Amino acid sequence: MKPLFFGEAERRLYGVYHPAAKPSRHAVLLCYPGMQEYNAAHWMFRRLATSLSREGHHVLRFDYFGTGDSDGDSDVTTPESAVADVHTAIRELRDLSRAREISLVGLRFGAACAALACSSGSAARQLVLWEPVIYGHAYVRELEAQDERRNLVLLHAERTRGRRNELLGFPFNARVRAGTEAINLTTGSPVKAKRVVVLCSDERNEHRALRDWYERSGVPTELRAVQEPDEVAGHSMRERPMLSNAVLLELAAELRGSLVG
Amino acid sequence: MTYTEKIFSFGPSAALQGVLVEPRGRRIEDAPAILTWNVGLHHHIGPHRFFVTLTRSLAALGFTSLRFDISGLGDSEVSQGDTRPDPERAVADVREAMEALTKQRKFQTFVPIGFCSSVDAAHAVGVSDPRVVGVIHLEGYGFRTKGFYLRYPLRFLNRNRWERLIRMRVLGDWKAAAEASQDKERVYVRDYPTPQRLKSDIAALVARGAALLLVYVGGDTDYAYKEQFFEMIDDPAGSNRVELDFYPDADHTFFLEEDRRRVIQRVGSFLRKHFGTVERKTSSAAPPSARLHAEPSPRAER
Repeated sequence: MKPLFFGEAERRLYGVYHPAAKPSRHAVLLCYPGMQEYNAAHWMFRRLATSLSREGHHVLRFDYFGTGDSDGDSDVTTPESAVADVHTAIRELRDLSRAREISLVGLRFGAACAALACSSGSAARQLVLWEPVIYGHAYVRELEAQDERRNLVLLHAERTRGRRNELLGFPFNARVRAGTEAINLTTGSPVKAKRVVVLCSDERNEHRALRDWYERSGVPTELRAVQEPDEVAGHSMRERPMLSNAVLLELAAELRGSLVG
Repeated sequence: MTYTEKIFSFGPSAALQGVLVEPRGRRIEDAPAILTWNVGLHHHIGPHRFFVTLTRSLAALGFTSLRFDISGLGDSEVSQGDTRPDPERAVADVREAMEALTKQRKFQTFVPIGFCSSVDAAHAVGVSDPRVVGVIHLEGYGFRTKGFYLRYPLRFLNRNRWERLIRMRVLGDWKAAAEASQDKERVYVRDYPTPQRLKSDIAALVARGAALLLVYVGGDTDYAYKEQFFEMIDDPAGSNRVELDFYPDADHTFFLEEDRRRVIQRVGSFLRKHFGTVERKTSSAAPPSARLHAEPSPRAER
């Protein structure tokens, strides 16, 4: 496990590189969820990175500009800036690992950014989208509902009225909101990936719409529902990754195929 | 930018990882290094990225900080064969951080910042290590006092509390009710020293000349009024080395940005007051004669 800063001097990104435990030409870039869901996912991403590196993948997990230890204040991270960071991280991972092929794994907002990066210049062997944010509007509504509950619990009920400029403990200004709400993975340029896997707990219409869109663009896409035990499935999407084991095993099994050939 | 950040690996087999945050402009001569680490299971950035904002703000005031992960959390690994219990290991890791900063950056003195559960290690190291010249507890130890119970009924005048109650019970928002109860557990499950022990620890720190900043919040905590701490340790006179702030409207993890900003400013003003009288330019070429008295910072309450 090797932490590092990379990227441009005034826009440095923090990442942790996990070199493969055995010689390998395949690398995996892990894309964290958005900052509201980041802390709960951090531990799971470390576990996933460790497990993938043991299996023989080079792995890089990194913080988008304005999140985690990367440069930038917490009010600057838009999907556009995060996608640019994914491109930068792919280049860094290629330099670090000398890998021939790179797969991308993203959770929620991270899955959207990974997909958008693959439709704006980067290419992946496998693109694994875990509970992807497909429609930004719905994602923001979901976070707002959680924010309302947290404010209520923490005795900030007055914050549950009117339009928010903070969301789950982070600034959420008009620019960030507009960019996030504009996410729509079912339009735009097709993704450059040999294969797409969409992992979700419940198969919903939006997942099917995404699969159909990718299939129509000529990218083989599999939609897979992963059942978690009730004690995990009962938690919000913000907390679920921290507890998830079934998805972790599924991801490792899925990427094992990329080590061959 | 007013800071530079570097990866800082230390401890046995360099298994402990952190980010060293140094001032890019003026730095305070002979200032202590500031230490922050995990709050509960949060990795070293802290809840709502609190420690990132804090350490960068402190760099702007001239202080160097290390935000790091203790063994087995965040980006730090547990050294092979280390079977010590977590609290003991956390204290050892804070000491490792101090050793590494002395070795690599020549720091001789330190101020650990404990936040909720990390107060335990901050307090233990502070009491036992003379290199600690200041300790900051954010939401540290709280014991219910007579004054707490006398003020308890005042909670029922809080409109937000009624709104929460109504929306949970009447409108059936059981998820919120469950979260509130979980929060209560998260806040209360701690291994506290006894009030008598805390009193003697604080006395020992003050006698040694260390400065303390204690910040408490209201909400669902065991803390209800500013002076409660001194009642807790049966020392109504207090000490001018112990500074106390109470934010009745803030919550345990400073969920709102304005609350975080307020605490960060307060920590900065505390450090400037006790340790920030002489500055030097960052350039290592600056001779000792370049020492100068600091201009008051607009962010500091001097």
